[in-house]
Formats: sequence, structure tokens, C-alpha cells
Amino acid sequence: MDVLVYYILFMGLYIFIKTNMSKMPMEEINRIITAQLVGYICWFFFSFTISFMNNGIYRELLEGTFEQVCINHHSILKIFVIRLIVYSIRNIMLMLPLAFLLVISTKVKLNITVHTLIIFLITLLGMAGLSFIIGGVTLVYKNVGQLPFIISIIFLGTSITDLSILPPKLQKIIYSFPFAKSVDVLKNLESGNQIILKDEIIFLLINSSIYLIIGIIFFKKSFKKASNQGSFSRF
Amino acid sequence: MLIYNMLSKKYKDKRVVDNLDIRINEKDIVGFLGPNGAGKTTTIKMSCGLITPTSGDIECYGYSLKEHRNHYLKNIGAVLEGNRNIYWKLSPVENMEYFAGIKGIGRKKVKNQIDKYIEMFDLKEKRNIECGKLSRGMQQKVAISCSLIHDPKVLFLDEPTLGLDIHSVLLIRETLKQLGEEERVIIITSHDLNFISSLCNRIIIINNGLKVLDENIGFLKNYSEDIIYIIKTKRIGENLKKDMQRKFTIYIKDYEDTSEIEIMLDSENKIHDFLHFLKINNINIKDMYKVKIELEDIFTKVINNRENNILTTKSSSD
Repeated sequence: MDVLVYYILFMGLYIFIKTNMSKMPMEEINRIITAQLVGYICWFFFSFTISFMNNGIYRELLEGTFEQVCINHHSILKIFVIRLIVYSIRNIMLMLPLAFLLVISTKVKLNITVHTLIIFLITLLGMAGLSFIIGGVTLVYKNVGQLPFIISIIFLGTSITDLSILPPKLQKIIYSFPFAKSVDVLKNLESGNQIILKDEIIFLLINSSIYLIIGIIFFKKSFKKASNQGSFSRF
Repeated sequence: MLIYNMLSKKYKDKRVVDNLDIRINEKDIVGFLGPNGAGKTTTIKMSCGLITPTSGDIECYGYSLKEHRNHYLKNIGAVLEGNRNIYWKLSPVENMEYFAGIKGIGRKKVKNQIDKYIEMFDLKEKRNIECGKLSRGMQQKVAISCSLIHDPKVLFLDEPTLGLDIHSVLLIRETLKQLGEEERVIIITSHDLNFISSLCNRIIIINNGLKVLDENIGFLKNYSEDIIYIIKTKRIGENLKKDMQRKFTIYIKDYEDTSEIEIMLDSENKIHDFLHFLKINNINIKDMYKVKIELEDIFTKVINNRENNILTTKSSSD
């Protein structure tokens, strides 16, 4: 059902592009659609990752099983990391048919190469870090409102927008997010530019590592704070 | 063995657990009692690593919660009050498999454990039904099974009989008795004092975070064998009161123009000695009846801070 909804959403965007940009050369339209498709598929996959920790913890709190999961010699972070890995595999299973359907419907080509996979994995680490940060906030405050949704919308915006048109200062701010630069690089790769700069990979690695490390530290500190407050069952 | 070493928890200015110092031996089934807000649940949750103590430590079979958290938690199982404790969308078997999995129990051992607890808790017919569709009693049995699936040395049960029918309470009691014969510690909090007195071999009462009583059930059973009379008379003067307290084990409560005397005797015949004492001191009896001490009475007395002759005299004579 999820796949169908996301398919319909993108096809709406596709029809809009085709209709409003019909006077542009075919090559240019295809390039734009490819970029949108790449951005959209990345957003589909990584928005689940962003909201994973918040949703997971919130659901356990609601079910009343969170404390039981915590009474464990494996840390709650370890348990959720393993769940995230399994969840990501499940999302890949959802993403593949969506990508396939969109490629057939829009008649664009997507080349999955080793570089694509490497960038995807590096981005996943950074997104996991962001998810841990939101998870930590959930642990302490229980209800984070629409925070994951807002971040997801920002991500969607950066995924389907051509960031090169933005002023340099704003570009730098946007690129500090763990998804912006990687989606940009993936868009370039898929639009035919086979060269990835070493600097870009290094930037992505450092960016994702920082988010991951900060996320883990923040989550652990949040768990300690909530444990000090004795607030796990106060929901 | 489970050792609480000067365990304390303070929230802002309020001490909810105050220097708890307890040693619990293997095969002890401990009734952990106290009024609402006494600190029982906070103590249980600190024992499960869910709340960080302000000071002090807990040691479980040689592993300290502070220093060896992972080893400590391997030996702990708990069913917490107010929580579901299990996943309602999963069946009993699936719940047990899941909790065994996250506690690192291998598939072969899990199967044996699941079969054991399905049998023990009479869950055969319901083993593959969603827990959300089971009765409260069945759900509680599944929760206890899940808490035992990794064979913990210490089991905490916070109000395990809340909301259960009599049949379920009896089954849980019998099962816990069986489990208590194995080499583990079981700690139960409950407001059902009958359940506690019929199951536990030791009672610990806490009030305002402080331990106020820690006795074997034998001590309490001595009380229930004692004979207690309540005698109502006209108001008794201070000198006569002192004389009475010297000669008998009594507790006197004064009202406007009457006194209520609670006297504890180790044999029925001794009431005559007391009645003779009243007679020679010209004290008329307005009313008189016999009471039987239950755990509830001891609990009420301890909580109301009646550090009276009955309890202290009995303790010192033991």
C-alpha cells in the first residue's frame, strides 16, 4: 500500500514536469526527471530511517513494553540498531519495486553502480545518527510532536530541488544535513556524470560519521537522563 | 543472593528511597510491602536498572549494578505493574521467542523453555492466540513466562495478581511456590496481604522510603498464635497505666473519657490474671472482645508507627 501511495505521488510530480516543461529539449526533461526520481527514491528510503527511532520508542512506550526491553544485558541502543538494520533491509525490499515501477512509467534509466551503493551506505550511517538524536529527544520528552515529519519535509525539499541554484551560504547550511550532499552526488552520478570527486566522498564520510557519533552519544546521554528522572513509564 | 547496599533515590528534595540495606538469600520469597508512595516500585525499578540510584548499589550474585551492569541484568527478570510487559499483537509463543531472542537465548534452549512454561502455566490451548485476545490472567501468566525465559536468578513481580480472578491468583501462587524451590530469589510487591502471607517466607515493609520491618514469616506466625483481647474501660490514670505496662504486654489508646486496652497473651488462661488486676484496681469493663492478628494488623501498626510494646517486646523476646 505504501509503495502505491508513493508511486502515485511521484507520478503526479512527473506529469507536472512533463506538462509545464514540454517546451524544453527532451534531454533536459529526462535529466530533470532522473534527478527528481533519484531524490524521491532517496527521500522514500531515508525518511523512514529518520523517523525510525522516534516511532520505535514511542510505539514501545505506548504498548508498555519499553521497560521490559530495557531490562536486558544488551543495551537499548544495540537492540534498536539491530532493528534498524532489519528495518532497512525491509525498506530496500519496498524501495526496489517502487524504483522499478517508476523507471518503467517514466522511461528513465537508473544505473546502480558500486559508487551508488557506497554513497547510499554512507548516507544511511548519517541518517541513523540523526534518527538516534531524535530518539534521544523522544526518550526524555516522550512526545516530539512533528519534529521527524518536519525534518522529512526539509529532506524532501532538498531532494527534489536543484541545490546549485541556491546562494552559496545557504548551500553550505543545507549540505550540513546528512542527506543533502549525498542526494546531490547521486543525482550527478545518475545524470551521466561518472566522476565522483575524492573530496565529495571524504566530505560525506566525515559528515555522516559526525552525525553517527553525535547521535550515539546523545542517545546514551538521553537514556541516562531519563533513567535518572525515572521517567520511562511516565507517558 | 541479592544485596541492597545503602540504596537511596532522591528526586529534587524528596527522598523516595532512603538508605535501604537488605540481604536476601537464595530460595527466599520476599513480600515487599508498603503503602502507596512508600518507594516499593522505585526500589523494584532501581533493581531492574530502569532508574539510576542517587547513591548506594545493588549486588546480584556477586555482580554489582554499577560496576557490572550487563552481568547483573542477565540475572534479572521482572513483571512490572501498570505495564503490559508483553506484545499484544504476538502470541504467547511469539512473545517468549522474542524476549528470549533479545536476551541472547539460543533456539534449541528457547524451545525447551517455552514448552516448560506453556506446561507450567497451562497455556497449551492459547499458545498461538494473540495475547491481546487473552484474558487478564492469561496475559499475566505469559508476562511471567517471558520474565523467566532466560532463567534469571532473581525475579521481581510488582503486583502480579492485580485484576486477576481467584483461580488465576491460586495458580500463580502455586507456580511461584514451585519456582521458589529452585535456586533463585523472588521478590513480590502486592496489596493482597493474604496472597503474600500464604506465599512468602519473609516480609519487608517500607514506608516513606525507609525499611520499617524485615522479618521472617515465622515471626509473624507467632503473632497470629498470640491471643489478643480488646478491653474498653473508663479512662485510666497515668500511674495505673505504668503499673499495667510493667506487668502485662499491652497497648493503651485514650479517648475523652474511656481507654481502649489491647492486651497480648500467650495463653487463654492469662486473661483471668488481667481481669483480676482490673477488678482489684476498681476498673469496670465497658466492653471486651478477642481479636486474631493478621498480617494486615501488623502492617497497619507498623505503617502507623505504633512502635508499641507488642512488637518490640515480642522482637526482643525472640
